[in-house]
Amino acid sequence: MARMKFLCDSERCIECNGCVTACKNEHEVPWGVNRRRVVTLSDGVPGEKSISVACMHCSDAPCMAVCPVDCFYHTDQGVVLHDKDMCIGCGYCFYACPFGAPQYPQMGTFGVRGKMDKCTFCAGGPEVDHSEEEFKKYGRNRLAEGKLPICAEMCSTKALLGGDGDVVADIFRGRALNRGKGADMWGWGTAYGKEGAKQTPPKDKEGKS
Amino acid sequence: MRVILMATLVLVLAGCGDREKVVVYKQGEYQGKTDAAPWNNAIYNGDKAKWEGDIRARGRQQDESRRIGG
Repeated sequence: MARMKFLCDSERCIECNGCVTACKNEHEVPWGVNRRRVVTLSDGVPGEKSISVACMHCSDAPCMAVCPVDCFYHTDQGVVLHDKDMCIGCGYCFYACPFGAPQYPQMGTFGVRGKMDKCTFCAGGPEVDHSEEEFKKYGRNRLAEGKLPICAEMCSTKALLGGDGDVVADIFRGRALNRGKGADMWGWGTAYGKEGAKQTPPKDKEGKS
Repeated sequence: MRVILMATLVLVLAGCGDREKVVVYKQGEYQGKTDAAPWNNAIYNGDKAKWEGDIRARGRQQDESRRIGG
């Protein structure tokens, strides 16, 4: 099976923040932590673009490389997860991540930084599937229910696609060919490197790849 | 008196013990808890093929042109 990937179609994203809200609600994410957020480029200028950003579950994840306690692991499906019992909240992963995905709850006294929290691709974490412990630490495990991440499934314009990389790339390729523009797969080169580049859709009518 | 002194000394020295926090530490390797595969649960009973099929089908549902037949 191919690895799990996210793809945000900037031609379709309308900055509704439905993905952000769905994620917060599904996983009961604490105050101050946003596993997903919508970023708008050239805000207010005609032609502005919005992109939904979260952990992209990189092939060669920089967070894994810098973690001093090695609390990260890659699942066989390509999802980057971490063991919160091992995390010391040092913040190295935040500085390493090109997408700004790692988040830290600051509910403690004097705003002390807690254990890192990030998007799990709705795959829970290293606890018994669907247990209360797993939900409390990592949120709901939708993948083990045969479902895709709630952000992608809730997206009203289907700008945010999630799931098997081949399926997601196929859908996007069809769209880009159909509309004849907007073939940029934002963040794929950074997150998936050469493997991601292989799935770049064909050139559009304007000759852009 | 000597017994009390000895007992106190034993208790004080016991506080100096520093145990290894990680039993086997290997640089650059994940040492946390193991995570079960998404099909190894009560819903899929270890049926990997069914899980993969379900995920692919669910993924394709994101293509509205396929759903509306356009």
